[in-house]
Amino acid sequence: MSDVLKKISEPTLRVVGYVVLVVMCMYILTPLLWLLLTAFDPEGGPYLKLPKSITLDNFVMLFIGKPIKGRAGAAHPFYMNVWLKNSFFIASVVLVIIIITASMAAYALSRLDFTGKSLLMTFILLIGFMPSMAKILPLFKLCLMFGFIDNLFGVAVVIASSLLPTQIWILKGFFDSIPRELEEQAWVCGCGYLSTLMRVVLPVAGPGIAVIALLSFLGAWGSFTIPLILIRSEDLYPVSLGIASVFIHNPGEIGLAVDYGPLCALSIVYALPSLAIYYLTRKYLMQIKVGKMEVR
Amino acid sequence: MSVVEVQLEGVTKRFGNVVAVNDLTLKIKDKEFMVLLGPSGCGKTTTLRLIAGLEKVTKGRIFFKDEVVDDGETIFIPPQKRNVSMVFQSYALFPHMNVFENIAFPARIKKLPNREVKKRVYELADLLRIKDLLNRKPHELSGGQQQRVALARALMIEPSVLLLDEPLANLDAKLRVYMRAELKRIQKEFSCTTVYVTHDQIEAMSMADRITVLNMGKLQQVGTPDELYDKPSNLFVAGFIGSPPMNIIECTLVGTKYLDFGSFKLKIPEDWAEVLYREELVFGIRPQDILVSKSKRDGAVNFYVYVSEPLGDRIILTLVKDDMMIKALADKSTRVNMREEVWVIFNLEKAHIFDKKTGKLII
Amino acid sequence: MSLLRYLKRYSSEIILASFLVPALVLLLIFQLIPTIWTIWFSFTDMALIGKKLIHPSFIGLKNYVDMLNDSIFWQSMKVTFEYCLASLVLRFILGLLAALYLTSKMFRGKTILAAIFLLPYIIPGAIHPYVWISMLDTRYGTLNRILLFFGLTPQSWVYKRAMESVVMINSWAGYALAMLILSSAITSIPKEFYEVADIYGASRWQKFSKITLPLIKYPVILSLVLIFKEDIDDFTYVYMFTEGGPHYRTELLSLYAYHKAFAYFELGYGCAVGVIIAIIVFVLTLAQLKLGGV
Ligand SMILES: Nc1ncnc2c1ncn2[C@@H]1O[C@H](COP(=O)(O)OP(=O)(O)OP(=O)(O)O)[C@@H](O)[C@H]1O
Ligand SMILES: [Mg+2]
Repeated sequence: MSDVLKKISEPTLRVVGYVVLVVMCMYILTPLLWLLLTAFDPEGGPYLKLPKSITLDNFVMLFIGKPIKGRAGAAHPFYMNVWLKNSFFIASVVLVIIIITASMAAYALSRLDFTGKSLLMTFILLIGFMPSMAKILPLFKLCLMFGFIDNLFGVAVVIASSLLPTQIWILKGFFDSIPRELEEQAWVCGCGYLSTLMRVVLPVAGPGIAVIALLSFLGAWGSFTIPLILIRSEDLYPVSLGIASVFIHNPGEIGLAVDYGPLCALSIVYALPSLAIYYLTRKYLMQIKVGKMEVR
Repeated sequence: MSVVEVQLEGVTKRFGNVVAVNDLTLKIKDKEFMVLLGPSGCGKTTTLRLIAGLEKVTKGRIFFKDEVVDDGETIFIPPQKRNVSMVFQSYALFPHMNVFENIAFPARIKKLPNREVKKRVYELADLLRIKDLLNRKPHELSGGQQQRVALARALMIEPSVLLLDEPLANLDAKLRVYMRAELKRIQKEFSCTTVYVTHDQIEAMSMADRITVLNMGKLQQVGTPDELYDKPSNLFVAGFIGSPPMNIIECTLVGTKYLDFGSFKLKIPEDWAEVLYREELVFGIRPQDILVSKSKRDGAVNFYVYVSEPLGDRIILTLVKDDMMIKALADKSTRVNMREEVWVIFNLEKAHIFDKKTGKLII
Repeated sequence: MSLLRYLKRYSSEIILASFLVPALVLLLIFQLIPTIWTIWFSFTDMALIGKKLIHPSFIGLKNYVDMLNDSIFWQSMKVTFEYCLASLVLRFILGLLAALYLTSKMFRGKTILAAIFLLPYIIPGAIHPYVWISMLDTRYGTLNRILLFFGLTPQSWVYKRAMESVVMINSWAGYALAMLILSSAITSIPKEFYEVADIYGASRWQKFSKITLPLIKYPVILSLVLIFKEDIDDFTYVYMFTEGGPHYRTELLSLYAYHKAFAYFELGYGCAVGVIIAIIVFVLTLAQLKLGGV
């Protein structure tokens, strides 16, 4: 390998690099290109083609909730406004819960030295390793006890708990990279522990917070299984369940009898908030500090 | 400001198997400028952190005036409540705040009124000559500027005790000399009890009211710079204080009149004989107290020049005789060549004798 | 009394330790308890219907013994192994490649590249299967059209090449995780290391293998662990595309557990399969962490 690479001159390598890059980008973008085109196509189907005319009907249909006259439209009603509202509620509660609990826990894990710390870290990572499908019934029973069935807040709490381990790990990496002297300086100046966290650690760990905000928003915004288990009534559906309710008739047959125009429009609307959050946090994404797990 | 003296009583600090501070008893008087001096890793920073409350003692007690702040068992006053200020070796300026906010930080925590905070920040900035920097972020400052910002922050509220951990270590030589004087003046102006950590003995000598010398976590000597220089209580202090360091030469006492150095003998003053209770001794003499001349004199010993290092106003001469090597300070006018024979007279009035076995000062 | 005073001396540590409580409470209640509950169910003959739902009886290891003789279980074990291995390799290699593009000095347009690379990850998972219909459709699918264009035989992706299709979707959707972790790690390597290497005339490959790889060892292991965990746990794509078929050729263990529990109502058995998955993940993760010297 090394000999081969050595013989390849820089320009050749560059050309090969660009070719691979183009192939990769095609792999990534072609499916999405279809999504974009079909959303504006009055007669789109499950294949890539340039629309003959461009329409916004598909988007309009999402929000007025019923098929537009004179158009073969979705057979099912849409409640896009409601779904979006529910998804937003879930995602923002998850965001708040995760930022608070993960930053406190990660801070303690980063700053405390005690025997068994690495064990605790491993435990936190492994605690969610039982497949969520296998946990459906216990989770359901548990949530019944807490009154979390058909309760958006409850759904958010459960989603947060499933996203928490990774976020704690990532954030701990950020905290580990902040010199301890900064906090000790704050203590000496009279700051309590909570106010040190708020005034010094969190602002300095800003990139870390941005990263976990993005990751947990994406996780909550896209979550499907947990709402599926915990939400019964249709007016509490988040977008993910809404899509399924409209477009999945039977599992394994998603290709059939789907109204592609509205589906693609819906997907695009669904993806916009995620893109917005990405846009806000993009600067920090490459700064994830997985740190060393080296926990003394 | 209230009177604050800091007292350490048999303080020991262990990190696992490492004993960082070993049975340290020390009293820092009110308004005193105390310097903790010692080689790297001797426990200076640890001592400072113990006083600040950033570490808990393993054994022993620490008092602020009459109040126990840490007794190694049940009492521990956290750093937030000790009313100390600290400048860390790394400055620890908050990267997300500008200079003004950094300096104002302690006052903000104490919730002082904004007008007062502003006034005081400007006063301090004026005093430390960082007025133009107030709007900058720490990463836009040079090392010396950062150091002054850290110092200003430490002086923002009147602390009971000011703790400084090698604050000048990262500065260039010129700025260091300037800041040395400045710091000393500021300390007198604020008249707060100060503990200053350094491993640079010149810094210690020039700034301290008193110096505490530590080695391997153990107290070696406490005293004014003069006391340490003139009467080092053991070989470690003798070798550590003064530059170039004191010459340390092993010797034996012959009868009551002579010290035998192997290749030559020295006649000793009569009053020495009474106190010299041992034969195995160590003779210590500072390079300044060795007189070098090119011509033979009465009682002088002949050495050969090994190296000569001109310092500008003086010359450090390294001299050898058989397998003995000493350093001497000579006048600039003393022009000598390598291997030239010179004649040396030891000023015995300024010389010291140590017990070889214990390292303790005898004379 | 002395305990109280002891506690007081360590009050700062206790305050700090108490910061762990909210997160731990969440994890214990909503992750650990269901897990333990599932483990308990796996030792019972609980069923989703009938009186066995309310009054399951303890049957010891019977579910696990049955599993040994269950050919479909072994089939899905094999399927899972193939799926996870293929996904792991693809997701990791694509992620590493993307990370190298994002960090290499040779290529331009990093901001746009980063956005493109991240698109599949940002777009909610519920959309992924739909997006891929347009690629995999046998008659009009883009993939087959490309194959035709190059004069190759089109494939029946969703049916005959079900496993390949699912792996393709999964790697498309999930390589960005490794990319994020690895590119962050690579950016955090000080430039000086490479400059030193340049001074000694190191080749590109030497720089990659002697500097980059060793320094990102830990992030590599972490991303492998996280990828593996996601793959073995998640069956959305097989569920939506193939429903495990044809002939159980894409019946992943997790899907099998789901089927057993909710389609055949053998909840106890389904839980037992879930426990097996958890044990596999647990052991392999610990092994990976150990191997990495973490
Ligand atoms: N947190 C710690 N854990 C373990 N050992 C420590 C810790 N802090 C200090 N030590 C050890 O205690 C000893 C004294 O350290 P300390 O930092 O006080 O030295 P110092 O005199 O400040 O040295 P320097 O001049 O290099 O700063 C050293 O041997 C050091 O290795
Ligand atoms: Mg130190």
